[in-house]
Amino acid sequence: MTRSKQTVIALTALAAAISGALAQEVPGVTGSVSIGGISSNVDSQNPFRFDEYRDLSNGATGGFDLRTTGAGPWWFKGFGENIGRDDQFIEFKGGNSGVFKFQLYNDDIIHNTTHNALTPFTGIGTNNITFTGPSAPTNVSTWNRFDYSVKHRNYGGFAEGQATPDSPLYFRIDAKEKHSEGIRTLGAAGTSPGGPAYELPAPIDWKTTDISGEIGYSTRKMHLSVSYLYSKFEDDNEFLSWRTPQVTSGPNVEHSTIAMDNKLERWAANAIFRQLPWDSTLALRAVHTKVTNDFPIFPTFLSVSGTTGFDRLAGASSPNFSGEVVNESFSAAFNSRLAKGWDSKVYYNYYKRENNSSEIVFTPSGGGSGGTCDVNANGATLTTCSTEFLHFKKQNAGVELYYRVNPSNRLAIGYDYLDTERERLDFNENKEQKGWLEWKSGSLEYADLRVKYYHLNRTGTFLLGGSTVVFDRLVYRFDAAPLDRDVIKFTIEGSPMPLLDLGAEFIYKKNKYGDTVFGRTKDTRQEVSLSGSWGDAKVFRVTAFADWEHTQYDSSHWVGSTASYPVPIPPGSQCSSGCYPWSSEAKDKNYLFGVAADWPVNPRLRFYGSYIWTKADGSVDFEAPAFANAQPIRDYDNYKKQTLNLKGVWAATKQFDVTLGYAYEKYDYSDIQLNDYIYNIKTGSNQNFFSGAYAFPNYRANVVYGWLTYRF
Amino acid sequence: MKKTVGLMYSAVALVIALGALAMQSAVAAPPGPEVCAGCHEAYFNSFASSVHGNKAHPRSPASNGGCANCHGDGTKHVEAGGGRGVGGIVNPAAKSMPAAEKDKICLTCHEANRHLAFWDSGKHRKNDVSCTNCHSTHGDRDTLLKITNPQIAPLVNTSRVPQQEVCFTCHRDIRALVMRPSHHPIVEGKIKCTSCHNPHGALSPAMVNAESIKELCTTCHADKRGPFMFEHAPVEESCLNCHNPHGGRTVKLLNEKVPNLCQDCHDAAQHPGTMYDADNNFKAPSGPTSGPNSRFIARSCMNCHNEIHGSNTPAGRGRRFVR
Repeated sequence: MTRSKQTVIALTALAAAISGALAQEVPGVTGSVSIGGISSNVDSQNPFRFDEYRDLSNGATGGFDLRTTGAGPWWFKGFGENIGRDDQFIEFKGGNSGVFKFQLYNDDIIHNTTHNALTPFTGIGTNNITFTGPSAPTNVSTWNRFDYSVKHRNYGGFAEGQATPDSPLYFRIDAKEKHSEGIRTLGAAGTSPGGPAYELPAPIDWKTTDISGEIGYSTRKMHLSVSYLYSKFEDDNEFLSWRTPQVTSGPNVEHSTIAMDNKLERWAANAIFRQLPWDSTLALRAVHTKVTNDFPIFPTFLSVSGTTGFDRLAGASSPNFSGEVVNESFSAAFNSRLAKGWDSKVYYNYYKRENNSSEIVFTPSGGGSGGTCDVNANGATLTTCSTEFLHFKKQNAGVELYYRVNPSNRLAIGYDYLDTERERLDFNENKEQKGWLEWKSGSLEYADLRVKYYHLNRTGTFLLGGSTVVFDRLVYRFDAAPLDRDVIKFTIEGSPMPLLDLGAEFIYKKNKYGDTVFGRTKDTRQEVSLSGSWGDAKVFRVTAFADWEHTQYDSSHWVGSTASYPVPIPPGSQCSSGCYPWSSEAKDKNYLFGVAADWPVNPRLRFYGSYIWTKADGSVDFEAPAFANAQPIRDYDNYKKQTLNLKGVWAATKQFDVTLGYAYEKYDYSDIQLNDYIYNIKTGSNQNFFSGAYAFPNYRANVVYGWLTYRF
Repeated sequence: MKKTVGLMYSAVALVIALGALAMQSAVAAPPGPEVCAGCHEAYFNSFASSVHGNKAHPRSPASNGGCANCHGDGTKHVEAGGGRGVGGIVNPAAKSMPAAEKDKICLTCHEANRHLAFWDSGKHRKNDVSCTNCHSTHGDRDTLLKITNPQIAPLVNTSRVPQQEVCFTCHRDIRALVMRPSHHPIVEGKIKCTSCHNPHGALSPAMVNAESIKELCTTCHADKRGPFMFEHAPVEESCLNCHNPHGGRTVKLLNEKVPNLCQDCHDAAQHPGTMYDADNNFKAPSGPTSGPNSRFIARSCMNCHNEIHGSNTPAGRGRRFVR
């Protein structure tokens, strides 16, 4: 019998015994205890999409739901499900009504991202992976099998209280800890740039600990509070050391970043004043957050030339890095009902990020080459590589006005302004203005309408317009590039007849980056959603949902040297692979239909069922000179998924319920980047080592489950 | 003897007087829940099983006047024999009642609750979403969430209340997103909408539980907090530049597939500007512009540039996020 089965049976028996004892010795305990099992049959090479967040492995399962029913002010509840399984949840709550309450919990989350991955490396799960022999084996049949999977164990709780039920003073303490263990994907280049690619198993052994406290004074007219949060992230494996496959002589150990320990401290203060003149409320919030870390810098890095490795000196200006990022924010909002039918909001938000980390300049030297990254204004490579930190400041202000024309109709209008200043090479400032209009109407007898339109205009101060480097002058990064956005949203909801609710929504969004030459030039989104439900929950109720969405991302680019820009040059002596402009349209169509029904046949028998069909088609069309021979992509995260879940619950006796269920799922996936997957593919002269991350996710599954519930 | 009899008569008179006073008080008070139960038994039972019906709670409606707290004085309603709205009886869940009036009933008791501190500033109040849109005051003691429809979901391992079903009533597009292959475990019951958002109001955009998107995401994803020796600017400014936290079809909840997403910002000589078309897949025949390309197959740019959220390795290896 597996350990999890033993655990489930033991815990369930214990819970039953405790509840029985409590029921006998302490009057006013009620609840239920369940024990059952799951049996899954899954046909798949990599069923991670089946069990990504669910533990549906064959085995026992159990749970409990207990609560006290005494007449006094003290109350307690206990709830647990999936006991002993990877997605276990246990919670205890209680308190003294109106004065004190607490919660303790354990919530396990499993995150599977690939089953049956393969690697030529040994030491999987450690921070030091290697292989035997002079070079890594390319025979996949000799590779080692493992799973990319991380389990998160969350423990925590809170306590909150006040001296008396009517006391305005309160306190709250929260504490939680998350342990994350497992393996995740880490990609690394054999050399930079170019060379082979390696997909490595990186160990995850993290702990995040949060402790916070809040004290406050809260009445109907006023709320004042101060809170402090301390959060510590610890990683037992800050770097992954790995032997590089292509090096057969000289040093051959690389170091890749996993995650560094860090600490966060946050102070926050809130002040809200209500029942001011014009039925107004003034809300204020200020927050100061500091994130820090400290670690020694590696004195060398590996440089690879052919099959020879060199431990090249990094030449750091300091042996240690002290990281410090400070975020400060202040928000204020004034809400008032100026007159009958009028509602308004005026607001201001300020956010500042300062990176006060130690600035490091690397001057690489010694054997091998590479490691520099700084360039001068003409694009010429320098002998150094310096850290660059982002500082930014955002100021946002706006006003919203709402006017109720009559009880059935309301108009709203708003204006929002956002100014962002940042230290960045390309755009050091953006100004965004957004205006919106909305009309809500309940004038139709059986339906409510809502129409909202907004337009956003973003301008930017571009610093590289005078650069001699063509790409620097013409590449506009979409997160800061000048932009015009239009969004329209239309919603209609109603009940045309008793027990029937219908709803429909249409969304259109367009982002146009009008000034962009290279980069994202436009993206659009159109979506239609329909929903409906009919019936009486006591007799029969069915609900359905359908959704269609189309998104498209357009972009423009240039391949190769820009010496001839904007004139394209075919492959030849001037441009080996050709130098030319090209553009793409990446399209995405998503479809979803779902229906669920609940049927209480009689007071003792209830059926539930749910069916979902969902599909996506992705593609990319290219436009390029004929000599580029651009081939469109037709399989881009294409998938089709169907799920069916049927369940029946029968109250066999007053104390016992029997639940039986069946689920069927089918997932078909096709993607040009993963189809015909080859773990040990050679690209040109480069020997790559891929592990199969996310590959072969198709699956078909049948699941049978059931449990017996004892109620008392 | 006479004195004793006199005292006895006085005591009896006092008792009768007190009794009369008590009876007057009883007649003057609104009808209690037991009276309402005579016609509204199902609602009475659901009220009794809810936290509002908990007489042990000193501030609950059950301890302070019962049904009249929310529905108003039902004396005339009872005298008239009942009926929708008759006698001034109030239904806080009625569609015809303005949202602000519904909220006023709940806020009579809950306005001082710390969870509602920013209610007036929140988008829900501004959009006429009232307490009774999401909460059923007669609901089960545990959550009071109003979920009336069966859940459209695949097999899930949780019997806990699916909070997201309340939100999806209005936020239909989000329901579609969380059903996509790449998603946070919302449907699975491990993450809730309130893990990231505060539906009761906040001063932050989209009423998130933090001052910025990055601060919100790194509450759970603390490994991405940094500070990093080499930062990636769009990561530091907002995770939403690359990710859609509600779900998508592309791994890691990306807005767009890689390399397209990366090439929307990176275009230069050599491989950032290369056109990665269908002729770069695993089985493509090799040619001048075709053949398997490690910058396209498998995880594309991430095959090499893995430390995309920031790197701590020295020199150019860290700057280019390849270590």
